[in-house]
Amino acid sequence: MPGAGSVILRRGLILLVTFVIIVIVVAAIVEGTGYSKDIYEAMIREIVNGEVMALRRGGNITEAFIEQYKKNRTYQLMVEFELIDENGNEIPPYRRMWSLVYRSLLFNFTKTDKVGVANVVPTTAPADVASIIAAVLPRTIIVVTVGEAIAIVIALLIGPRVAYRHGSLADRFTVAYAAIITAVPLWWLAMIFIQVFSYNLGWFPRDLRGVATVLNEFWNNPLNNFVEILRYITMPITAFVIWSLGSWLYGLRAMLLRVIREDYVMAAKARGIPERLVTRRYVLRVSLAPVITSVILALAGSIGGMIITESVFNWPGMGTLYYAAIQEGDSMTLLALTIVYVGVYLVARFILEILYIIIDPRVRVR
Amino acid sequence: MAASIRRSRISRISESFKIAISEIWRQTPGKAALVLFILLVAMAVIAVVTITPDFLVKWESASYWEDNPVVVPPCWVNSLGYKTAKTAQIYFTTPSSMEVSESEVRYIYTYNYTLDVNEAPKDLYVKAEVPLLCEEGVFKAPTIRVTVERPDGIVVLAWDMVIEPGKTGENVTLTCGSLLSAKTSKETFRLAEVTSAIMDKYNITVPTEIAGTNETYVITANSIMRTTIRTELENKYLTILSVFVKPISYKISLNRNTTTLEVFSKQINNLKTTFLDLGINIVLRDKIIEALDYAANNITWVINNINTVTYTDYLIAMNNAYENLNNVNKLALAASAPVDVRSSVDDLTKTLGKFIEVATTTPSLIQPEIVFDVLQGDYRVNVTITYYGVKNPPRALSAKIGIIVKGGCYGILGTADKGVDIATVVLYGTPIALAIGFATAVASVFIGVIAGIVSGYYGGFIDEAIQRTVDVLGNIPLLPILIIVGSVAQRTFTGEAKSLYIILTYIGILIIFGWGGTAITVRAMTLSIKEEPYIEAAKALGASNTRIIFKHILPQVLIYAAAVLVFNVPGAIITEAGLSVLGLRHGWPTWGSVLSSARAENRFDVWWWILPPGLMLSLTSLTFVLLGLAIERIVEPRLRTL
Repeated sequence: MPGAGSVILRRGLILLVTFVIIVIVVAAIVEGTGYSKDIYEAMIREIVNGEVMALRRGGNITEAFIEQYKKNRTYQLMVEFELIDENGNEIPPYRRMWSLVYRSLLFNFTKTDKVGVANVVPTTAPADVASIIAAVLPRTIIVVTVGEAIAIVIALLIGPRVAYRHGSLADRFTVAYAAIITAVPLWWLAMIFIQVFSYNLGWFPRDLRGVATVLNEFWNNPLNNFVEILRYITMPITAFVIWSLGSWLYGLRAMLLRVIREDYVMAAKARGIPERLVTRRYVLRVSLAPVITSVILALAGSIGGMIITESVFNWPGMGTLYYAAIQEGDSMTLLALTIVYVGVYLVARFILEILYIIIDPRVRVR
Repeated sequence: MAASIRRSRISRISESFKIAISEIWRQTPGKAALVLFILLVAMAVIAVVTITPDFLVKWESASYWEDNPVVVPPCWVNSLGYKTAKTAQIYFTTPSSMEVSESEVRYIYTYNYTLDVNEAPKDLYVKAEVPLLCEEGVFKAPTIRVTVERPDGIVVLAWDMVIEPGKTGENVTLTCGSLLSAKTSKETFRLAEVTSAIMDKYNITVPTEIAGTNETYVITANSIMRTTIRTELENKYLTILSVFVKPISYKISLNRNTTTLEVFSKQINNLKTTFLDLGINIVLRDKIIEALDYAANNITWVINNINTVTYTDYLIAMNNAYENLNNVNKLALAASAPVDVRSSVDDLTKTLGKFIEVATTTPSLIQPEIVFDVLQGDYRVNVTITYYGVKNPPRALSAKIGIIVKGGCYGILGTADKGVDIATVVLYGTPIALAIGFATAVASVFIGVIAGIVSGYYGGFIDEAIQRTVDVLGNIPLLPILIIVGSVAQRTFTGEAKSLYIILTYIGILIIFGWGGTAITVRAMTLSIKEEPYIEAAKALGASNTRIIFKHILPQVLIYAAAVLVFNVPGAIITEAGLSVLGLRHGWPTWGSVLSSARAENRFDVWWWILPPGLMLSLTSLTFVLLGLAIERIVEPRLRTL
C-alpha cells in the first residue's frame, strides 16, 4: 500500500522539520538573551578550576604560572566553545547559535556538576547530562504508557455500557465525573494522594525517590524488587488513571453515541446479531480511529501533567529532574531536557500516527 | 442620527446578552457556573479593593507575618475536635487606664486572654512604640513592665525593662515625641522570678525527711531544685511559655546509689595500708591512721544508713571525711612521706571535694522530678508604661502597644510557613488568576478569530501560510517551551517588575501556542458562510470585503468564539500554577505559589496548606468548564448548520 507509506513519510518529515524549527527557536532564545553565555562561562570556569587543582596536586608550581595558565586556558576554551573567534573578537549570538543547534540535534550535551541533578539518577557529579536524561526518561515513559493503557482499557470497558444507557444515572454520573475531574489539576490530586495514602493511612512511601535504587538493582532480586516497585508506582499510576479516565470516558461516550445512531448499527441489530458482537465489530471498531486522534491530541497534555505530577511525588523521572535542575539553576540540563522532551514527544506522536494510519483505512486511500 | 444608531446597536447587544444569560441560567450546570463565577468575581473585587501596594512585594518575607503562628490550622477546627489555643494579636492606641502619682505616671494596657484547651500557646510577646517625653529640656524614656495575672492567682512579672533610645549606637537624632520601639524577648524574660513564684504558690520544697534540718543544706537542696525546674521550663516550655503552666506532680528523691562511696572507702583503706607499710615518724603515722579511720568511718556510716540518711547528714559526713583527708594531707607533708603517696592522698582529697561540690550545685544527690501541665482559665496581661518624674503627663499617650499570643490556630484558613496567612493569599490570588486566565483567553481567541476569518475568506497564499503555521504550532508540546523560556525570563528580568514580566512571558507563550485551534474552526465556519447566497447578494450589491466580514461573518463567529474563550480561561491559570509547583516561581501571591511552597517545604501532610489553593484552582476551572458547556449548548444548533 503505497498510499500509507507516503502519508507516513510526509508526517515524519513534517515532525522532523518541526523538531528542527523548535531547536533553532530555543537556541535563538537562549543565545539571544545571554542565557547560554552563562552556561558556557560556568562550564569554562569549572574545567579550568579542575585542571588548576590537578596541577597544584602535582606540586612545585608558582602562582604566576597558574595565573598565566588560567588565562591561556580560559581563552583557549572560549575559542573552543565559540564564544570568541581566533582573533579574540566576540562572536555574535546569531552566528553562535548554530553550533548549539548542531550539538542539540546530535543530543551532544556537556557535563553537569550539580549534585542535586545527579542525585536524581542517582550518580556522582560531575555527570554527563545526556546519560542522566537517558537514565530517567524510561521511568517517565513507564508511568505515562502504563497509566494511559489502563485508562484506555477501563474506558473501553465502561464506555459502551454508559453510552447504551444514555440519560441513565450511570451516564449522568460519568458526565459529572468527567467534568469535575478534568477541572482538577493532576498534580494537585497527587498532593492529596500523598496526604491521604502516605501520611494518613501510611500505605505508600511519602517520597518516591527511593524507587531509583530499586530500579537500578532490579536484577539482584527481581521478584522482591518487583513487589517493591509496585509499592512505589501504584500512587502515581492510580492518580494518573483516575484523572485521565475522565476525559477518556467523556470522549469515548460522545463518539459512541454518534456511532450507535448510525443506520448500519441499527441494521445489524435488526438482523439479530448479539449486542456484544455489534458493540465490538460495528461500534468500537469504527470508534477506535477517532479515539487514537484524541490520544494524539491529548498526548502533550498528559505528558505535561505527568511531568509536574512526578516532581510532586518525587518520582525520579523527567519531572523530578526538571525540578532539580530548576532548583539548582542548572541551565545546561534544562536546555537538554527541553530538546529531549520535544524529541520524545514528536516520536511518540509519530508512532501514534502510524498506528492511526494502520487502523483507519480511509487515511490510506486519501 | 449617528448617536441614535449607536444607542440602538448598544441596546441590541445588551438585549442579546440578556437572552444569553437567561439561556445559561435555564440549565442546571449553567446556573452553578454563574453562581460560582459571581463568587469568583466578588472575591476578585474585594481583593483588588483591599490589597495594599506593598503586599505583592512583601508577602513572602517572614517579617510581614511576624505576629502569626507558623503552620497552624484554621480556628474552626476546634469544633471538629482539634484542641488548639487561640491566637490573639491585640494592638492598643489608647491605654486602658492611667495612674498618676507625684514621682511617676503609669499607662496601663490590659488584655484578657482565655486559654480553654490543654495546649499552651506557641509564643507570647509585647511590642511597644512609645514616645520620648521631655520636660524642661530633659528627655524622659519610659520603662515597660509586663505582668500576667494567672487563673491560679499568681501575678507573674514577666518583663521589666527600660526602653532605651538608639540602642546600637546609630545616629539617631532624638526629638521630643520621637517614637522608641521595644519588643520583649526570651532573653529578657524574668524566668527566675517566674519559677520562684510558681514554686511558692504550689509549695514546692524539698521535704525534711529528704533535706534534713541544717539550714544551709536545706537552702542548697531547694536551690538545686529551683535550678532543675528552671531548666525544665527553659527547655520544654521555651522560657516564655512558663507563664501558661502549673506543676501537677513532683517527686524529690535522694540518690541512694553507693558505688562512688564504696570506691572512696576502698581507696581510703588502701591508703591506710600504704601508710602502715611506710617507715615514717611513728607519732605522725598514728595520727594519719587515726584521721584515715575517721574519714573511712564517716563514709561507711553513710553507706550503712543509705536508705534513711538525709541530704544534711549525708553532706555533713562527707564534709567530715573531706576535712580528715585534708588533715592527712598536711600530716603526710610534715612526715615527709614519699611524693607518690602524698600525691595519691591529694588526688583522693580533690576527688572527694569535687564530689561534694557537685552534690551541692547539681541535681546529682538531690534529684527532683516535676511534671508540668497547661493551666487553663482566664489570663490578664497588663502592659505598664511608666515615666518617672513627669510633672505634666499627656492624657492621650501617642503610643502603640501590641500584645501577641501566638496560639495553635489562626484565621479562616490557617497559616503556612513563615506564618503566611493562607486566606489572605488565596483571596489576593483570585484577581491575579482571573487576569492571567482572561488575558490569555481573550488574546488567543482574538488572534484565532482574525486568523481564521482571514484564512477562510481570502484563501490562497495567506491561507496556506496560516494553516502551515498552525500545523507546526500544533505539533509542539507546550510545557518544555514554557519551562525553558520561563527560566530564561527568571534569569533575564530584574528589578521590581520582575514578577510581572515573568507572568507576562508565560501569557505571551500561551497566546502564541493557543490560537491555532480557534483559527482552524473559524476558518471552517468562514468557508461555509462564504458560500451562502446572501453573501453573494451582498457582493452583488457592491459590499466591500470589510463590510461582509464585519456585518455577516463576524457576528456568527462571535458566539462560538465566546464559548472557546470561556473554555480557554482555566488552562492558563492551571499552567501558571503548575509551573510554580515545578519550581519556576515568579514571586506573586498566586494559588500556585502557595502550593509551590508546600512542595518546597515538603509539607504535603498539612491539609489546610494544600486544600484551599487547590480547591480554588479546581473550582475556578470547573466554573469555566460548566459555563463553556452551557454556552456551547446555546451555540450547538448554529454549529450544526455547518
